[in-house]
Amino acid sequence: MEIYKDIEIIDLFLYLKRYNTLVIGDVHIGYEEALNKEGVLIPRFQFKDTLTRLEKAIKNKRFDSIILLGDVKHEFGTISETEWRNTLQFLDILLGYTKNVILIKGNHDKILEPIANKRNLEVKDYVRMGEIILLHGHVIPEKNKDFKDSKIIIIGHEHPAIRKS
Amino acid sequence: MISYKTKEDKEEEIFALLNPIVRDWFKQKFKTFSPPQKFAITEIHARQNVLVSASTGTGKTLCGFLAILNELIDSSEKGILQDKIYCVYISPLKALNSDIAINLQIPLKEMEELAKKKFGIRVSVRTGDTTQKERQEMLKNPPHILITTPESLSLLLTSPKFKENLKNVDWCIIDEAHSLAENKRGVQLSLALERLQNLSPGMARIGLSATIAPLDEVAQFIVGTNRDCKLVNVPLLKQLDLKVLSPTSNLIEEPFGLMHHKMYELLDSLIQNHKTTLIFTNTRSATERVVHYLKEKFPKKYTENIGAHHGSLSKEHRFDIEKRMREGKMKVIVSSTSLELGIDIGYIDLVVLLGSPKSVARFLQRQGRSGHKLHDTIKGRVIVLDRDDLIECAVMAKNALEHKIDRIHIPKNCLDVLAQEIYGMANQQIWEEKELFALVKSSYCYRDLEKKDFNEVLNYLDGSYTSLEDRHVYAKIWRKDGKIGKKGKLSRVIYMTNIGTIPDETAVIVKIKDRKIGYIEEAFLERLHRGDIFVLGGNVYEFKFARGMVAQVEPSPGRPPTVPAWFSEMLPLSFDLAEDIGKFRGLIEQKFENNRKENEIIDFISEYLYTNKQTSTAIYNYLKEQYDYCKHIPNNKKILIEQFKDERGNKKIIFHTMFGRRVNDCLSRAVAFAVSRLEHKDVEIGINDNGFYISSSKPINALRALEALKSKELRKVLEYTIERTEVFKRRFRHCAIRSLMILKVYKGRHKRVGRQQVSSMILISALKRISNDFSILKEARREVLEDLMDIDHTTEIIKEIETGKIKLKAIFTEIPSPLSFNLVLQGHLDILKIEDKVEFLKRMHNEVLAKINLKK
Repeated sequence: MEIYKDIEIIDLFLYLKRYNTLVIGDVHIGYEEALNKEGVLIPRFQFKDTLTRLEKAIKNKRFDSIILLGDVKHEFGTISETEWRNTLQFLDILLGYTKNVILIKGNHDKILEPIANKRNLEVKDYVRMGEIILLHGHVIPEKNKDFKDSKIIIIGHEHPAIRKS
Repeated sequence: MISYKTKEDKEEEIFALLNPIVRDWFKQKFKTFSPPQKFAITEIHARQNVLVSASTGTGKTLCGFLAILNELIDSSEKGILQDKIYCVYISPLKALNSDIAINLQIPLKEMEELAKKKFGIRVSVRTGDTTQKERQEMLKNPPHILITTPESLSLLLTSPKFKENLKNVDWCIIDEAHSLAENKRGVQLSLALERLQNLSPGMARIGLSATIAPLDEVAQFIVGTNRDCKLVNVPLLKQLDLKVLSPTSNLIEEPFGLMHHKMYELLDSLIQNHKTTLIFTNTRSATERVVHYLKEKFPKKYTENIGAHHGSLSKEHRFDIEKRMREGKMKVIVSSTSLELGIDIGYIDLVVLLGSPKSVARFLQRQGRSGHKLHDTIKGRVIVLDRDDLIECAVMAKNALEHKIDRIHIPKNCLDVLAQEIYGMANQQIWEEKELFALVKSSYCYRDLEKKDFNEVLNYLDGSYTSLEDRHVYAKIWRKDGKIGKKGKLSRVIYMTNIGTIPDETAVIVKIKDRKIGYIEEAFLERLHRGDIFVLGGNVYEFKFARGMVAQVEPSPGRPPTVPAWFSEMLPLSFDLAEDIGKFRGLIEQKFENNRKENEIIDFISEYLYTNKQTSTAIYNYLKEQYDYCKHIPNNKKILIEQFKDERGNKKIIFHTMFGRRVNDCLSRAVAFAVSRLEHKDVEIGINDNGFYISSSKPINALRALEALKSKELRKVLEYTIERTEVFKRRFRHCAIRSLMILKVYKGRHKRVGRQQVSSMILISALKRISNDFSILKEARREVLEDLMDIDHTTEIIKEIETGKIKLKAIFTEIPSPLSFNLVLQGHLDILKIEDKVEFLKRMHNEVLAKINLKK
C-alpha cells in the first residue's frame, strides 16, 4: 500500500521506492526472554515469526540498503546469549538481501556496537536521504540541520497496534 | 461410606473414655456434654473420620479437641507421650489461630492445676507470621498440637526437614470447613490433606462446620474419595424467632420521605427494646449510611455507643469496636460481612438484617450471631423496603425455619491449583507418576480428573509445550521413566514465595485518555463490556477498554447505566432459594387461575410462609397486581418474556428467569449470542437475580432466541462469548499466577498487579497459538463458567425448556408489568435520587392499576 509518493507499506515493513531501501523498526529481539527473566513463562514465537513475515514480505527482492530503525533488541543493559545469537542471525539474513545494512540507535540499544562490529556495520543516530530523515524517535534533535531541513520524518519507537477491520 | 450418626452416645460411655483428670475438669466446668460432643467424642477417640455440622456456640471446637487432649494427658500420665505431632489443626483465619492456641492452653493449665503436675504438652501456631526462631524451635521440638493455615500446611509438607514431623499424625481438624469448601483455598487444602494422609496413613480427619448443605458432599470434600465418614448434623438447638418486617404496610404507595422516616423509627424501636443489636447491611456504603442516619435522627440516643465494622475500615478501628462490644459498651453495631465469621463479639440479643442476605445459610449464619449461649433464642428481624425483597426474605425465613439450607458449589478439577500443588509435591520428593495421579484423585475435588488433563498439567510443568532448545527455561519439573521430581536451584524458594490461591487485587484507575477520573474495584471492571455505561463520582461514563490496571472511558452524560455501582459487592441469590421463590410464585398463580378467594389465598400465604396477616396481604397484593395486569406470574416452571418500548423508544425485552444472578449471567449471554447469530443484531444486556433484559433499537424475536439454545452446545457458546471479556482476561491472570506461569514474586521482587495483567495478556495470545485447550486457558474458562457463573444449573434449565418442563410465554406490554419494575429501574438507580426512584415506581404502579381498572 502506497502511503505517500514512493513510500509503501509491505506488511510490517516500509519500502522507500526511490532509494530501493527497506525500513524495519523495533524488532525487539529478546523481548520474550526478558519476560522469562521476570518470571513470566511466555513461550518464544517472536523471532521465528519475524523471520517468516520478513521472508514472505520481501521474497527474492534485492535492496540498495536496509535500515533498522532502532530497538533491534530488547534488553537495555547487557546482551544476553539469545540476543547475541538471534541478532547476528537476523543481520546475516538481511545481508543476504543487501550489501548495506544501516543500524540506527534506539533507546533499548545502549550496547549495540559489539554486535554491529562483528559484521562491520555502523551504528548511526539518524540517516538522511533527500528530503527524508530516518531516526528512532525517542529524542528529537531539534537543532540538527539535517532534521530541520527534512520534509518527511520516519520514526520507530512508538509502536501502536493497529488492526485493520 | 458416608453415614449419618443418628444416635447420641450415653454420657457414662463418654466419661468412661476420659482420663480421671480430664473427666473431673470437664464436670467442674460444664457439667454435661453439648449435643455435638455427645455424638462426636467417641468417634474421634476411635480415630474415625467425622464431619460435625452445628451452629456457632455449640461447643464445636472443644468437641474436636476433647478426645485429643484426653489422649495426650493420658499418655503423659502413663509416661508414654511421644515427641511427635499428634494433631494438626487447620483454620482459614490467621486471627482465629492464636485464639485457638490460647483456648487450648487455658484448659491444659486448669487440668495441670487440678492434677498438681505438669503434662509437658506443647501447642504451637505456625503461620506466615511465625518467626524464624519459633520455626527452628518447632523443628527441634515438634508441638503435640500444631495449629496452622491451609497454605502453611502445604509449605510444611514441602520442607525437607519438617515433613519428617508429619509422618505419624493421628488427627487432623479442619475448622470453619464451610468457608473453605466453596473456593480454591479449599481445593488446595484438599490436596494438602491427601499429601498429609500419604505421610500419615492412619490419620483421622475431623471437619467442623457451620450449618451447610449438601452435608454428604461436604463430608467427601473433608475426607476425600472413597473414605468413610460419620456425619454429625446437630439441628439448630436454639429457638428461632425470625420475622420479616416492613416499615409500612404499603411498600409501593408510601412517599419516600415517610418510608425512610418510618424505617429509622422501626430500627430505633427495635434497638431500644433490646440490650445490644447487630445490624447487617449488604454493602459497605450502606453500613456507613445507617450509622450516619441513626446518629442524625436520634442524636441523643446514638453517640459513642454506635459503630460501623466492615472490611474497608482499618484493623485498629475494627479491633477497637470488637473490644468495646465484648466489654458491653456498644448498643448497636452495623456491619456488612466482616462480622459473619466466628470472631468473639460478646452478647448480642437481636440481629437485624437490612435487605436480603441472598442465601439461607448466610441468613442463619448472620442470625446466629444473637443469643450466643446454647439454648438461647435466636432473635432476628429482616427489614425489607421493596416488594421483591419482601417475597425473597419471606421464602428465606420459611426455609430457615424448616432447616432447608441451600447447596454450596465446590469447585472441581481446578488445573491451576493442581499445577501449584504438583510443583509443591515435586519439591517434597520424587514421585511415580501413577502414584501421584492416584493421590490427586483421592481428593474429592479431583475425583473425576481425567488422565488427559493430568498429563496436560505435567506437560506444562515439564516445559514440553515449548521447543526443545528453550525447554530448560520452562521446565519446573523433570520427568523420566514414569517418575517426576523438582528442577532448578530456585525451585523451593519459588514455591514458598508464590504459594496460595487468593489473587492480588488492586484498584483500577479510570481515565479519559490521560486524565484520571477516579478508581473502581477490579471485580467491578470484570462486569464491564465495551459500551457499558456506569456511574463514578456522580458522573456517567461509557466503558471503552482496559489495559493493565487502567480503564479507558468516555463521558456519556444522561444515559442510563447498564451496570449498577453496587453490582460487584452484592452477593448473588443462591440457586436453591431462587427455585423456591419460583415455586411459591407458581403456587400462587395456580390459585389465581382457579379463582380462589382473596381470603383463602392470604390464609394460604400465612400458613405457607409463616408470615403475619399484614405481610401476607402485602405479598398477595403484589402478585395479584401482576396477575390482573398480564395474567401471568413467572415461576420456576414458566419463563415470561415481556416486550415493551422504553422511554427512549428502544425495544426492551425482560426475561423473567427467577434463577439467581449466576444462572441469569449465563442465560443472558447465551440469548444475546443467539440474537446476534439469528438476527445479526448487537444488544445491550442487564441482569439481576430475578431475570435479565436485552434491549435494542430494532425489533428482536426474543422467544426464538431462547428456543434456539441447545443444552448440548451451551458450553461451547458460552466459552465463545466470554473469550474477549474483561472477566476472562482477569480470571486468566489469576489462574496463570496460581499455576506459577507468571510468578508474582521472583528473585525478591514483587510484581505489581498492573504488570501481572499486562504479562498475562501477552501470555494468552501466545498460549492460544500452542493450543486453545492449554490447561491454564481451559481452567480460566472453567472458573468463569462454573465457579463465578453457574453453567451446570443453566444447562439443567435449558434441558427443561427443551423437554417442555419449563414453559415459555411471550407477551407484549405497553408499560412493564409489576414484577419487571426492579429490572427496568436497575440501571437508573445510580443516576436517580432515591426519592425519584420511588416516584418512578409509584407512577408505573399507578399506570398499571389504571390499565387493570380499564379491563374491568
